[in-house]
Amino acid sequence: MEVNLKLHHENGDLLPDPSMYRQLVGSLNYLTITQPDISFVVQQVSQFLQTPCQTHLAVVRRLLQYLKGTPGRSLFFSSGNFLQLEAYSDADWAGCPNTRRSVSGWCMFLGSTLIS
Amino acid sequence: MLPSFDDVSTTVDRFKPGIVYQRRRPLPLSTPKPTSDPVLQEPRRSTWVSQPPDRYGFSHSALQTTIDTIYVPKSYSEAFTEECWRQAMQDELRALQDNHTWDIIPCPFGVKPIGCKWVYTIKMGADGSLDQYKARLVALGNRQQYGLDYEETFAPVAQMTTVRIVMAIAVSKGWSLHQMYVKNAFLHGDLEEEIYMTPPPGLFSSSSTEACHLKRSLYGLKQAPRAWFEKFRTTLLDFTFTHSQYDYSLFFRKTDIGIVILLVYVDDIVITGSNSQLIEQLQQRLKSSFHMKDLGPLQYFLSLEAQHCPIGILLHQHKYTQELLSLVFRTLTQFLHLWRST
Repeated sequence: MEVNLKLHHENGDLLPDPSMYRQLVGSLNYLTITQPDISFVVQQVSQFLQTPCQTHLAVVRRLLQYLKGTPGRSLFFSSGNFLQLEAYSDADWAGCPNTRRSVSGWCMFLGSTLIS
Repeated sequence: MLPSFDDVSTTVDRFKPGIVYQRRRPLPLSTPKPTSDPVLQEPRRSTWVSQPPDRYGFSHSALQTTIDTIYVPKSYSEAFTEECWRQAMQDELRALQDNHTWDIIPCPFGVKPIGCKWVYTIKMGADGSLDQYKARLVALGNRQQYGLDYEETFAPVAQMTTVRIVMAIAVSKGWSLHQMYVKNAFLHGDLEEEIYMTPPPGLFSSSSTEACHLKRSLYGLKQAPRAWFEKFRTTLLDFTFTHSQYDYSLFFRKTDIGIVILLVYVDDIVITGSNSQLIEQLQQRLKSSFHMKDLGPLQYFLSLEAQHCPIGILLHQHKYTQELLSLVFRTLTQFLHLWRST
């Protein structure tokens, strides 16, 4: 997704076939298990499952091209790891343009392994 | 119509008599002519021969062609004409009878039995070859009525965070990860409700008075996942296992010689622990209770691929990504106008 792009409801024309968009986003959601790098974008496009528009599909398309362009991403579980839990989180201040809620992100590490 | 002479006179006025006018020559081109025709000049192309990555040991296109070439029947009458599907149905019926899924009794008065249906599919091996023809008898759960035929339908599955935590702990402690699979998992679940089903086509010449009184949770019933998980849970609690408070599908057992951790996702089971003897014991006990299939060390779990290397484990979904991408770019050619317009 492009930097500082804010997605709105009713952005452009409605998609004629929203089920395709829903299937795509659902499949991408499962991919966030081992690819946490796409989880923010998936969270963003998941907000528009009810009435997806062309701009939202463009974001999904860009994400698919990112996936195609960067194969071989994986989570690494290293052996001999010291099991200490570390957690980081961040939130943007009322970042959602529709509801004025904050979007928060977090990551948790068990030693050097990303778990959540 | 005659031309108007006014125009002619004005043109003539511009040329003064007594002055020699020279015809203007075209100006010489300031830019030099190109040495060769640009159309003929080919850009330098790479001599690199592109080939798909051999990441999985087989070409992905082979998998697609195998799936596309085999016809999967949609109904019993279609499947009955082919030997391979008849054999698959025989296997399924044998599994159902081994599990003592039903009793055949005369249908009580006033009870309308729910229907059943055959579902066919083909199973692929990890290398893309044809593994087996699979026929599955499912009950038509949409005919069930809430409160009469089923109550609760919820069944827990493992959280992905739990999967990653278990793997992280196991790898960092150097424990071995084992994977097991329960064949016909739902058929192990005990059914508490009274459910009658029409006999499946192909079992015998069905008369209208007889019906199958279901004993086990057949596939397709609304409460089947719940019944299976309840059965599995009670069995594990009999093995002196304990529930995790944080994830209901995580079980563990602490003894003096070590700990065993078991994670269940419907019918896929991951076992790890500090003591190999305890793991072995658990596997034997599970095998005696259910129809288990030992898949050895953890490699492919819920489309997550685990790649073992000397310093740890890589967990990735390359196959899933590739399949998703190829599916998208194949089907979305139909929606090409959508892609162009965005």
